[in-house]
Amino acid sequence: MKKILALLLITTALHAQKTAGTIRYEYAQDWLKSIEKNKFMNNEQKQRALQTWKNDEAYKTYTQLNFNKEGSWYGVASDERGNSWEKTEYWVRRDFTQNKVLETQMISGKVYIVEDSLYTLPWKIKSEIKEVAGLSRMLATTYDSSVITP
Amino acid sequence: MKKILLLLFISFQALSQSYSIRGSLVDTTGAPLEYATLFLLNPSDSTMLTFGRTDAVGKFEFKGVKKADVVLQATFVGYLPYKQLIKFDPSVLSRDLGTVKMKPIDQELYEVVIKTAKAPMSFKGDTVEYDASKFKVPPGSTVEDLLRRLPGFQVDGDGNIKAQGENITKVLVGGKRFFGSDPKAATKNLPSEAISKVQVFNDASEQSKVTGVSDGKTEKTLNLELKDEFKKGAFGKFTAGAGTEERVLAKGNYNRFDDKNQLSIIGFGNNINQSGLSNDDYQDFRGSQSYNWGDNVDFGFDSGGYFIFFGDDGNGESLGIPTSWGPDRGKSQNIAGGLNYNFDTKKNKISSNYFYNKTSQQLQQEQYRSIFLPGTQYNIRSQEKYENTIGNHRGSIRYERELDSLRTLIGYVNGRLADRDQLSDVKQQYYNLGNEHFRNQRPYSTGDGFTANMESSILFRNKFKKKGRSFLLSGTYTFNNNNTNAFQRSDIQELIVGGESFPITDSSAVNINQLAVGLSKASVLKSSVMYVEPIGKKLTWDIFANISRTLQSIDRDMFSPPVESSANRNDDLSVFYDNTINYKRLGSSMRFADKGTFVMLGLAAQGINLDGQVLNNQGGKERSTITGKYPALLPIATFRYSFSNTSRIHLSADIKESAPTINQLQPYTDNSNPMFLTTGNPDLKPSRTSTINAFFNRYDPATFFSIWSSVFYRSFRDKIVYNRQISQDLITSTSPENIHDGGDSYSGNLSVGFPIKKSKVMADMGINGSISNTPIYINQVMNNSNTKGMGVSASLNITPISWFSWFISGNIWTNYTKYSIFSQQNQTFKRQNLSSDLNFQLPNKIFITSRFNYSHQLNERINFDQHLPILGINVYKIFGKKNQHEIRLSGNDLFNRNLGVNQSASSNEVSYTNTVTLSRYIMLSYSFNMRGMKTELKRNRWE
Repeated sequence: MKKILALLLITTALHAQKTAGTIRYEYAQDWLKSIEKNKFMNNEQKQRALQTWKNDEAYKTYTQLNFNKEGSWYGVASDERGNSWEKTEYWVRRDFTQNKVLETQMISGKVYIVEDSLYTLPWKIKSEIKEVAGLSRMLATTYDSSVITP
Repeated sequence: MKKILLLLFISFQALSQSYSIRGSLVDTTGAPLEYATLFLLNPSDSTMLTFGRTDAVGKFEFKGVKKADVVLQATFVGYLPYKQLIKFDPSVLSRDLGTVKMKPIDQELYEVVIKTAKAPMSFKGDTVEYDASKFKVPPGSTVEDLLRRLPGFQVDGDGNIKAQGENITKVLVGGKRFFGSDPKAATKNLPSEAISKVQVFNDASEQSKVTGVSDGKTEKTLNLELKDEFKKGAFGKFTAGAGTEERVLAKGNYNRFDDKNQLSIIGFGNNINQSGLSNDDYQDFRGSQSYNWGDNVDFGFDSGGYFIFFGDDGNGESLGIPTSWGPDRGKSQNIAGGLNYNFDTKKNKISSNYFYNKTSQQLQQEQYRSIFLPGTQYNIRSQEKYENTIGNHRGSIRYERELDSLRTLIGYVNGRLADRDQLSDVKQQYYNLGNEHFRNQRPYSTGDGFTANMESSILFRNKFKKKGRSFLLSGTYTFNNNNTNAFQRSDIQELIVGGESFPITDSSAVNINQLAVGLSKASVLKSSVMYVEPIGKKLTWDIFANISRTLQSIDRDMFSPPVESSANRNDDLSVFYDNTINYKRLGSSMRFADKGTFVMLGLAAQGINLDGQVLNNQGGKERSTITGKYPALLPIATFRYSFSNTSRIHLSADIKESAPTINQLQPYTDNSNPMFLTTGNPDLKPSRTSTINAFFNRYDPATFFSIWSSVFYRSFRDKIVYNRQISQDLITSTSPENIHDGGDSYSGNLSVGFPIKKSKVMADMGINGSISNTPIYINQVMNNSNTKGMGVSASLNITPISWFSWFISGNIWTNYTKYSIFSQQNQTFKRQNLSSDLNFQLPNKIFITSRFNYSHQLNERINFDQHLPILGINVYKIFGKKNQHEIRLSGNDLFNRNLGVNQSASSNEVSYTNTVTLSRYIMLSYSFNMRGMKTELKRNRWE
């Protein structure tokens, strides 16, 4: 009960503060690409799937990050329509003042709220330069070892 | 408290002794580079440690740097990225790098960078990459012309190429050598529009590649990356086999594709009962047009409506390319072939195909029927022979155009022309209750027919800027023309017996010799419109309307004796009938979806108007008119709720109303078997079906335990049933009629799946049951046959190691039928089945697979007891470097016991039928697959 109360407090605290900025993300799941890379289909099955579904567009969902100086909230975008196939929504709440992160995780069909300290992703700066929208950008990549990709 | 103080002290100490790096960034002329971006990287893997910027005078400082070696990387627009390794020296904690000079990118290149808004070139390590689409060349130019325009390239009159001042000695296309060693072969011959990227880099010399020892020499190398559409591919498969019992098989397909085009051809021929394409072959043949889920032209929820199964002409043939799951009944010879071409771009998708197939099927069966009458019964044994040959030409064209990002237009035409021949020869022996053989009857007919049908649709979809809002409009025209000619004969022979003999009163009516000529036409013009509006984030509302107009006509002439002339026309059995059915529906539904809950409620107002007339002959005297108006209000409700992400419940209820089919309405008597007359009923009303359906399922991903249960209930109003009238001489007349109430059915099942050993041994168990009532009138007496069925099933999937898999399953089904007016005929029949699917993989890519199926059917009342053990074994070997070849020896039905068996109990009869089916044969076959064979054993029952 204490935990829930604490959670509620954090929620209201974040809501009470003004959002300094919002970032909208488009999350595209191109399952043809994952078919191409998977290890359980043989060459013929892969090629058949690619030929059959090549006109299908990637499945897109939209998420957003609200942030201010004290913390951030990441989850389903506010204009996304409701769905009935997910019982629990995924979200991540970061508290910069206490160096803490709360995240929903589905493990074996159960939803857990995982509390952890904030971690920094190991960014690798590559020397590839590209100009985007009039500004020079450098390619940076990272690998998030905490995300288990199937 | 002391501890904390100490800790604080230590950390202050550490802070005061932190490591810092500073310096200033200037260009080659010494001018400071302001606000340049700097990174400190981990030298081992280039991971970013921290980042910063220079100030207005080009100065920078990193404080609190990790005490280790770091790499400083600086970037500035127009300058080559700068990298420096800074070794950590514990004695110098305040490191001053002084001035760091950055070199500008070559002025010529830089101008290009500035001039074009988007970067036409980028740097990846030591590779310079040019985006070919950013450099305009006239159409028809070669790669050489393109290279002339790339900054940093020089091409002389002979076509020799210099990049960044050095001679290009090697040209690769897509990373591979292009036609030998002449670098000009590719640049002079390839069209420039085929190129997406040009890359220049230093490659190790051939000598060092061969020896593996770096000789320090590098070759300036040019790599040309091709655009996707110039990447071509092809694949194909071919199989041929021959076996005992003159069994043969051949099939092949070949496909060529690039990102826009798919061209495929397919063909097969066999006498092993494979009449259609497998699902895989269908997908290979149709490619990106295999499934067009969005082509449905009837909008709104399904509430029955007026549907004619257009592609189906009563012979199970449809407009779509035939696919089949397994071998057919009886014996058949099949040939087929087709061509498909798809052209797909983002905006336009065009597809067309042609497919021909011809199947000749022979069915030889033995049937036993026991027919009950109030107070007595009789039995018929028959030997039946049917031969059907059908040839189908199918063609389709489909065009989809994206008018803009929100609007799409789709048009398609599917057509079929079919030719068929049929023969049926039935020998029937009648037995009375004392098992005395009192009558022989032999109906015999031959005939041919021709069918043409076509379906064409236009579909318009409009999405809006508001997410979820859409508008849909469709129009469809279909027609189906069917011509048949049938010569029908039947001869009766009465035998003298001591017991009941049901003597024939009028032998002229049962000994027929006639020609039936039929021409039926039907066309449908229909249109649908729908508008969908989202309300808030969780609600969606839609409104839709459907209208259709169906015109049908049947022109049937019966000639006896079987010669087409007006003198021979039998007016009682001939008819001309035409009708119009107007169908209208207006409906709306509301859907709610949020976090595991889904609710849909809908209501439609539907009207079916029937208007027809029956004439003696086309243009002849009117016999009767048929009119009817059938308005109905039809609701639908669906509820789904997830208790968690792994368990959910679903409830739905709906009412549907559907009009009778043309076969049920046609007002003539089919006397092709004069002992069993069928007459259509033009006075039929639509029948109404109410359905309630519920299921629950749960899957636990941690324990792999799953449970699935469902219940189903259906009830009818005005159900269409075939009432029977059996005369003294056993002539049965049947006609479809509406029964006000009755005919409801219930079913339910429960199944559980669980691991005995996770991922190695899985078990499934289930129980299911059903109750159904079939009310019909027999000689004006209502008989309700009530059938209760109950079954249990169990299966085991054993997949312990990669080279062995075994799937076992068994089920038992018991059926109990109770007759309200023939209670002494109540009976039970049983069906038991056991199957085993055992597979091994041996070394050297040798596989052995086997399938054994044992079934037992029993009905003691009619002395039916059938055991069928069916065993099939396959041994095959895959060989070749790319696993492209396979040689296979297959033994089918090794005990030679295969038989098609069917038993049923309904209305006032019980029957069983045995059909002679493809049985034992051994076949040796060879297959070649360009894409390589599957070299894994099957891990799944359904593979």
